[in-house]
Amino acid sequence: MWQALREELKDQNFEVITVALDTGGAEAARPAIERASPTHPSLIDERHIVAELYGIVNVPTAVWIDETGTIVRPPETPASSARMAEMIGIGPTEYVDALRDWAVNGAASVYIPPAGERRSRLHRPDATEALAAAHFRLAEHLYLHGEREAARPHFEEALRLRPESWTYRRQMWANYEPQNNMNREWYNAAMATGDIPYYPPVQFGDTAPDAAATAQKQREIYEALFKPLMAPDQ
Amino acid sequence: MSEPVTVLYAQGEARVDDALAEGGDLWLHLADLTRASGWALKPEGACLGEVCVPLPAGRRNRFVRDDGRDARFNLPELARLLDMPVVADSATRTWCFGESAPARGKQLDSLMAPDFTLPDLGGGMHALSDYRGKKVFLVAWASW
Repeated sequence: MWQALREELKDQNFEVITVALDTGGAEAARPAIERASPTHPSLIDERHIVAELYGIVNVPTAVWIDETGTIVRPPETPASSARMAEMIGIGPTEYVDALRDWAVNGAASVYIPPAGERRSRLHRPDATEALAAAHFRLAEHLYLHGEREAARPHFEEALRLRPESWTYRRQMWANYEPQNNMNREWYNAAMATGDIPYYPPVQFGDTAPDAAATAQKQREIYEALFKPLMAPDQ
Repeated sequence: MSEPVTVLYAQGEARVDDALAEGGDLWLHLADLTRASGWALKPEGACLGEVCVPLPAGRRNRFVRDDGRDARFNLPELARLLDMPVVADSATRTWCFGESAPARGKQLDSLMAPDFTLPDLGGGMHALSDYRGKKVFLVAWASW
């Protein structure tokens, strides 16, 4: 998805790094990576380390990092296509144009918010999220060591604590109930809530974001959303 | 009775042959404590590299216990002191010590992009910090 842009901007000191949040590892990620034929690093993150470090709960999620290793745009949903752009409330090429602007103008780009603004946009985990992450970390370890059944209660506890995490939910489905990832019922239900967008709108310039629901309210909404979709024995 | 356990601390993983698990407590010999978590017991308290945490007065025995020949240290008690979540799986005797939410918050305040090292399809390892000096557009995706 980003290969063409990467080739366009590489001579402006610009690199793309993709990270596949896939417990299935190289085997799961290989088909899509080979289709893209990337010249940029395409990394495999079996244990969702990057998701935990950056507070990522859905994919795709992008972060802009400057030459000094500083976050200049906190995690957000990027748009490489007109369809994605519409979902995040911007014009069809606005996101890639913003990246081009950053490549050319660097720190002077209008798309780089001031440090204080970046801090306020960075999501800080609370104790519930930290506990969920520990369960998820334990679940991943057990799963990757062949202990599928021992891992399952810890995946479920991570999800119980953080029903709003799509990375937890869809990875768990990929591990145990892959048919759920094919079935779009959950997606349609999420899109229909209206209160919590599946992909939050991107904050460019003066675009005023909708008031974000508190973490607790978001959890309540997702918990209610997934009750009818849960299997009877859960 | 001592038992073998697996300790997951930060991104590391260590097998400890001779741990004492008692409810929410896990008593490790001092050498195992350091091997599994990097923490060492010193006169100043529990130390990780340059950082030392004094053990709370009057509660030292919740952290340190003499075990005849060798002392044992209760790592979960230190984790609780530092707001780190502790999760144990009794069936597999695996203990996971997670990142503290306040510590992660402080790290995010610095606006420094957290570093990580991951493999590509060929198994070559890449650290984010290898790309210092370039503007990096980092994108997380998934096959699911």
